[in-house]
Amino acid sequence: MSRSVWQRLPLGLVLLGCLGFWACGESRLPFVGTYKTAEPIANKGHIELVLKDNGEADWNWVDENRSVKLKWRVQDGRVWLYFKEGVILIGTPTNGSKILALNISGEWHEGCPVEKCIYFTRVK
Amino acid sequence: MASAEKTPDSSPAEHGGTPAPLSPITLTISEIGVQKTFAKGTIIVRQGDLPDNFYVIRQGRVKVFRLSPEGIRTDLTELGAGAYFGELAIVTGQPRTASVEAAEDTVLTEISREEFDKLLDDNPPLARQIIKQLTEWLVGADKRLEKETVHQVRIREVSWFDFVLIGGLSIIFALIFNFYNDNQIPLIQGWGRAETVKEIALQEALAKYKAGELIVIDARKDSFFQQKHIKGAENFQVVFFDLMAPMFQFRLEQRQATPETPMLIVGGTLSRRFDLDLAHALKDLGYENVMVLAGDYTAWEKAFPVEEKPPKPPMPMHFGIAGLLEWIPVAIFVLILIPPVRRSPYLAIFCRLLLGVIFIQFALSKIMRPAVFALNVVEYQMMPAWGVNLWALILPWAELVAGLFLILGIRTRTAAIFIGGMNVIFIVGLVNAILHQYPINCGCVGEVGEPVNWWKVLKNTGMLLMAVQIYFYDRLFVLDRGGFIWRERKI
Repeated sequence: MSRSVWQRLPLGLVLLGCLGFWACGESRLPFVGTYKTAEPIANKGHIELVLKDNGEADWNWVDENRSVKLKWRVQDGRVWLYFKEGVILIGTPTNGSKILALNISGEWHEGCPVEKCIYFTRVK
Repeated sequence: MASAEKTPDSSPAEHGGTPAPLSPITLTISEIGVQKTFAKGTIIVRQGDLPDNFYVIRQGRVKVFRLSPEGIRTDLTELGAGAYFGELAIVTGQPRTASVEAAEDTVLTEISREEFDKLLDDNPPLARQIIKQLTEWLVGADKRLEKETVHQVRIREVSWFDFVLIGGLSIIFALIFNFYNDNQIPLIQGWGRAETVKEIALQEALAKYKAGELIVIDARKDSFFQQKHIKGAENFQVVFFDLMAPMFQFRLEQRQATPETPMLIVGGTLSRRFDLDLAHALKDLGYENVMVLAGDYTAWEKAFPVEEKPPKPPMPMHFGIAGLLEWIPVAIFVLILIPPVRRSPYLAIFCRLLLGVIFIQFALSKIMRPAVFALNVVEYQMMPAWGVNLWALILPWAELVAGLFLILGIRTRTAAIFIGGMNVIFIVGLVNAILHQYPINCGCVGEVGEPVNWWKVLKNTGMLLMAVQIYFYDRLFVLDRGGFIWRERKI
């Protein structure tokens, strides 16, 4: 029996669709908002982190008038921030996601290592 | 009594005759033999048994089939009332070469060898009919053998076109996707950048360092810095520079650095000149007197006094079902050591599905954010700088295309070669990283936290063996060239 490869195309598309669905992340909505560091960082003022619902984020050094664009998503209840250089910052929400403990080591940790942790408080 | 009927498929087996109507014989056949009834599903004649009887179907239907040594059943034909089978084994005295199973409740006349011999002696027309039938089978078998041989050769062909197809599709998809991807990366990192950073000879840098005339800044990631760095060096991870520039500035201010202060930036690797990247970034901030080492950018490790720490054990991370899936190749690794199992085409199908799913999963974890994977590639320190981004862009698409080809049965041998080749590269990279004790993330399926260890090497070896098994033994459910023919079990 001869079959055209086109007859298998739907199977391929369904397969890709399923895998694409599988690859999708969790809802970002619970974490959308503006966060600000609890303390000034390195005598240079506060950092403001704005998590938008479209998956984009702004990292602002408020006093320095310096802003960097990031992407973000949620995985396993934690906030993953992606920087264009390929590095990932993972934030662990606590206190009902009012506090975000951001690991700035660039390495994987179950929580946020104290010496490499910046705490953000949700302000909006 | 036993009238004959024509069947569309002339079988190559000796079981299953469909003679033309032979009225003179029917009377004779009806006078001899024993009538027997077989329930549906009963095996009447078993392949390999010594022949004792010849059968004429009086009522019902039977299926004639062969079993290969690997256990693959090939249905040869179906016979109905009036047909006969078992005559060839009786004539040749050889063991049965096919089995016969009752397709429904069937009534047969069973004729013993002695009765059959007597029947032939007394009925020359029947003898001629059987000779004619055997000749037709022989000719038909030759034709099928030729067709099957051509088919098998086509399945097993591996051509350059296949490699170009998989490689070309991967490159085209990668470039197009990167063009439209929000997270796109340049094809070559730092391409076309004017090099304005000063270089300093190792001995001169060492003399200035000992004299306390320069600040040493390490541009590598924290884990590498923690493992080994020049005494007194600052760690400004260049990958964080834009995010943390004010903090880095503060630390320079703490060291009372001015725009004229000499700074030695270290951290170059084969795969990325972190030192150059950071030097450019600091120059943009106004620090003019930044320098990198001339020549061997890793020479500081032996020339400068360093602080070292043993590498930290990697943090465990759980990957759920996706992670468990990756462990199956280790089981297959053991399974493939058993010769009869090793040759099974059904194992090849299982390997195809499993490898396909694993590699698609690999691909999906990297495709969307190539920069993350590019940084992983850099950490392995085996790829030249110009190839890092190209590799990070194209490899996931090659994994996806090859994985899909394996699952869909398209060019499976070539896809297996691609996947096996990727496994070899992964194994070399992992072993190199383990031997050098690089504190890195595997970058295999997750974006972070995957340890590099010997288990990963074993998993990849298992996957490599699966690819080899597919290459040698895959022959079911594949599309061959020559019109995309669906390979069926029934021939």
